Amino acid sequence: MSFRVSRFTVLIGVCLAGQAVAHHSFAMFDRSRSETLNGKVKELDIINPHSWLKVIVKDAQGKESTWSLELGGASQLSRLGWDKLIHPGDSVTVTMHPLRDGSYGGQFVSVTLPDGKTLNDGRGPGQNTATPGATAPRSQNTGPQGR
Amino acid sequence: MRINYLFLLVTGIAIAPVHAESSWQEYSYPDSGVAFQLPVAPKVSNDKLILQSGISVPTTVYSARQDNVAYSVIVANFAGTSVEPRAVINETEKTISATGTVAFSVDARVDGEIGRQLSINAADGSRAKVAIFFTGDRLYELIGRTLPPDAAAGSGETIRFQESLRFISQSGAELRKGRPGVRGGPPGNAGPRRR
Repeated sequence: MSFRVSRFTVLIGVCLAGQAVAHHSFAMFDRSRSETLNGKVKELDIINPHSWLKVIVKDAQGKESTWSLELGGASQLSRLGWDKLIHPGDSVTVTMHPLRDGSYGGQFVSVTLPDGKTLNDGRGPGQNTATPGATAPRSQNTGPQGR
Repeated sequence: MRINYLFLLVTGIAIAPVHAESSWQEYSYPDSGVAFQLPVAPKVSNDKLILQSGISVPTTVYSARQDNVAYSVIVANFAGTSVEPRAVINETEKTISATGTVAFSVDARVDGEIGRQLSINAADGSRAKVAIFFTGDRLYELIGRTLPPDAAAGSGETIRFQESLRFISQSGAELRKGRPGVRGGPPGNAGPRRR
């Protein structure tokens, strides 16, 4: 049996492999834990090497804090149609790997939109590395918990 | 090591805070071999860094401030010296760690270069995220500091700043594959996409 791989296929593979190599480690994020945030989208900034989603979260006292969530690169998000699906003001539930120092930020895992649809950011295998059952809700809106 | 963190702090506070809507973009400095993203354009100044060994080298400092967050990038040029990069990183970490309590410290990688990332709670109530790397005869130290009274506010911006660091060549070319710093998606869609 002969097996032929076109140059085009190889080229696409090389390009995707290049994008899959993160430009930095994710040492500041605690990838052994996942937390959820309920809030409203403030801003989606699609940019390389990483895009960012800002979400405004209210705590139990009504105090607002802005969370910055690191996403994949621009090409990945564009392929998934993020720019058409996420809008400022949308109520969302975000799952993330929190920062180790408790700051208002994290590595994005997934987002559930107002219509119930769930999106990831296309980083694929290795992205969701949280220990099963380790997801802790932050937003029964207990808020930032003194952070 | 003597580096003027007081100068940085005063500079960060003195630079008029900008309250405009966030508009992050990448700033590239091929002469310094570095690119990073900020919400406002940085001011550039020059200083010097003195190691415990007495070696003194020139530094270029890029500083900016928005709301309660002060950003700075210090680039120290060690060309012509014979320092051990890891020792310089360690001395830098030790020096800045002395400005407060280290909440977190870890080895980190950017563009294949190994360095350190720290989170420091300072005695004055500010919080700092710090990245320290040494490559191409240069020491790079990024400091994103949220200022009191509510140092938690804006703390997410400091991680964005820290994670935007990348190293570039003298010609401004990438030192890795990809198209970092380019807004948009596939070729032909390079326009801003802020929502």
